[in-house]
Amino acid sequence: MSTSEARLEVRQLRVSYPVRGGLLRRAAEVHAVERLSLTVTAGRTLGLVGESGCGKSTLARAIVGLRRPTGGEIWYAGERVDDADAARRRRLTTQIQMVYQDPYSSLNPRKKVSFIVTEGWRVHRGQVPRDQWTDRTAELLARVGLAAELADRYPHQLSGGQRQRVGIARALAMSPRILVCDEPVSALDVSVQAQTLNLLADLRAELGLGYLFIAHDLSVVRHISDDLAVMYLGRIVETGPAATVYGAPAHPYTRALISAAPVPRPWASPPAERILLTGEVPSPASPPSGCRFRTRCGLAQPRCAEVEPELRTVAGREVACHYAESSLADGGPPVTAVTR
Amino acid sequence: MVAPPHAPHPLLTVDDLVVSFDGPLGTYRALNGVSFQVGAGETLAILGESGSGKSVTVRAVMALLPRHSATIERGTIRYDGEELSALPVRRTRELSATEMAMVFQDSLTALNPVVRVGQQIAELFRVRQRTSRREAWRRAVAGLERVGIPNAARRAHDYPHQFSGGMRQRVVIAMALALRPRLLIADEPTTALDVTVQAQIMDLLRELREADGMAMILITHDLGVVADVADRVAVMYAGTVVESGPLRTVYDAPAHPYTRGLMASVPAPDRPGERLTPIEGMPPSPLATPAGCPFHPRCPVARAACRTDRPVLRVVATGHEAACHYAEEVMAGVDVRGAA
Repeated sequence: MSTSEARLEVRQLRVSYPVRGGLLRRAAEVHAVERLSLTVTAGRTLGLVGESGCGKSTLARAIVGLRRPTGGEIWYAGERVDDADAARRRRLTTQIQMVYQDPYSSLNPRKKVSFIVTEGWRVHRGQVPRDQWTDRTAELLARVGLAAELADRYPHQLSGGQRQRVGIARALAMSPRILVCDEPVSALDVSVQAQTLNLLADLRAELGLGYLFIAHDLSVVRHISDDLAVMYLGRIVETGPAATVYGAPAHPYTRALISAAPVPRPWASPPAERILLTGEVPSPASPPSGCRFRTRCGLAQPRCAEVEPELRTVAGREVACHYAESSLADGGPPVTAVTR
Repeated sequence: MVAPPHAPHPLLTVDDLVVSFDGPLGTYRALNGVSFQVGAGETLAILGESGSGKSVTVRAVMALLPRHSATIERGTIRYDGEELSALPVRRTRELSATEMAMVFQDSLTALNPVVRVGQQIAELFRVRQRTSRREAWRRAVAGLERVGIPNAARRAHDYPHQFSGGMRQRVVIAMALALRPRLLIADEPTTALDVTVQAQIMDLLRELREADGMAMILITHDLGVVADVADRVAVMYAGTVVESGPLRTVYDAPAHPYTRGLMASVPAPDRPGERLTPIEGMPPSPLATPAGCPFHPRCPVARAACRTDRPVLRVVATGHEAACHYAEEVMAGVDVRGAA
């Protein structure tokens, strides 16, 4: 398969959860992901940032088939994935693999590393012939920087960083073209996090993998991403080349996120704008009318409560804000400067 | 407002503290000679990765170590001239209720789930200051107002689960500050929170510290979170303080190779995609701390002496201490990978 074909496209995706509650026990729906579109291409990294509850993990699970979308389409290499029959689905899922956040709970504690890494081959028979499993496992472990003897260990005998490498080896075992990484380094200590980020960058270069890199840590996402997408309450509010979005954010939420991200040596960079958002993310069960961000936005106008802004192109990126131009303009109205 | 480093009468002095635990795998030393000071009104950040002993250190100060498994083998903890480890736990507890207060990472477990939050704070005034029920409640509401809880008078009647994570952390801070402590210890106070909420809480802590002139110890694994709050930093590794000094000095010119390695591990916002320089290997298990300098197996400048002689914390510049035989060379950037 050529690199140009290894392209993952999510179109107008919606993922809903049924919620039952209230006085009459009426069934309601929470749209965790709402009309969301994105593209991941081989050899590139799309970084997806957002706070807890914004739907980023739900999106990841829908892409790898762990959660059934309730609307929209997922395409991979020119084939529709989400409505594929079982056989085609099996073939396609090897191409898109996932690396999970928690290296403690995502590995079966009762199985040795050698079993965990080869599990996909047991399911997808014919992927790798049985007599090559030992050699291929050693190769995979070497590729992720683990000693071959770790194949005989159990997860609890490994450190957090080693476990995350096992998780990456397991994903690579299926020879995927796209990796969906859901907070792959957020459970790791700083020094180990840097090792893992370097490994992911190496693998991308050597294998031409495409990454959907999901994280809440903006400095990590900025470091590894070519493109950025910022998610708020189930929707993408801004997306474009990482340098553009990070360098001159147009959505008030992106601006606030960037300004809130802790910088180790703030005195070493020019003084940045300081935006403190009021309040917290509203419940996805009852998103605000119109623009979902308006309840925390200092730029919000009456129109924001009435009309939900759609993504549109502004200064080289797509942004969903009625007032993106004034937000972007230098000296534009401050987003909000209230502490509480 | 900020006490000079090593003021004549520091508020808290911890000297050569050694704490061991009886675990299922044998006895191990969680702290191996921890020394640091906090001056009145000063904010000290204790920085370290998981397992470095930062939480054990402050739990020892607060007399919160598990009685059956933990032993203070050696060392002194002095609060305002009083030797805490010589006092009965009861007296330390009394001090720790009125003079020192602590905020934990997980606000949900720090609060009683079946008692209204106003009641939980009011109880402190009733027990410690013998105030009337009405007066205690009034002060509790005032405390909630002070930490920025909207509609405090009404919300005081709510239970912990009715608050969002950020608001709950404010409740915990209100509780800790109720009796106007002179020292506030915050153990990873924002780790469980989203970035935008984290920024709100750090701002709140900074404001309250300035208003009350209290001293703070902020425990964190995140180099960035403390950067605009702390006056000084103590870096912990494998149960000891390996470096301490004014925050900016330590960050700009680290004297210990471990600190330097941490700084190089963090992605720089202005150099995206640049290869990170992680610290090789991983922290030692407390059951098998290396002989000599505990950092030597991972250290890029380690020499023969480092394998046998354990370096002690020594002054390398005014107010700046490091436990490295070659601190001067490290400060000068000699022979260290990742040096600027």
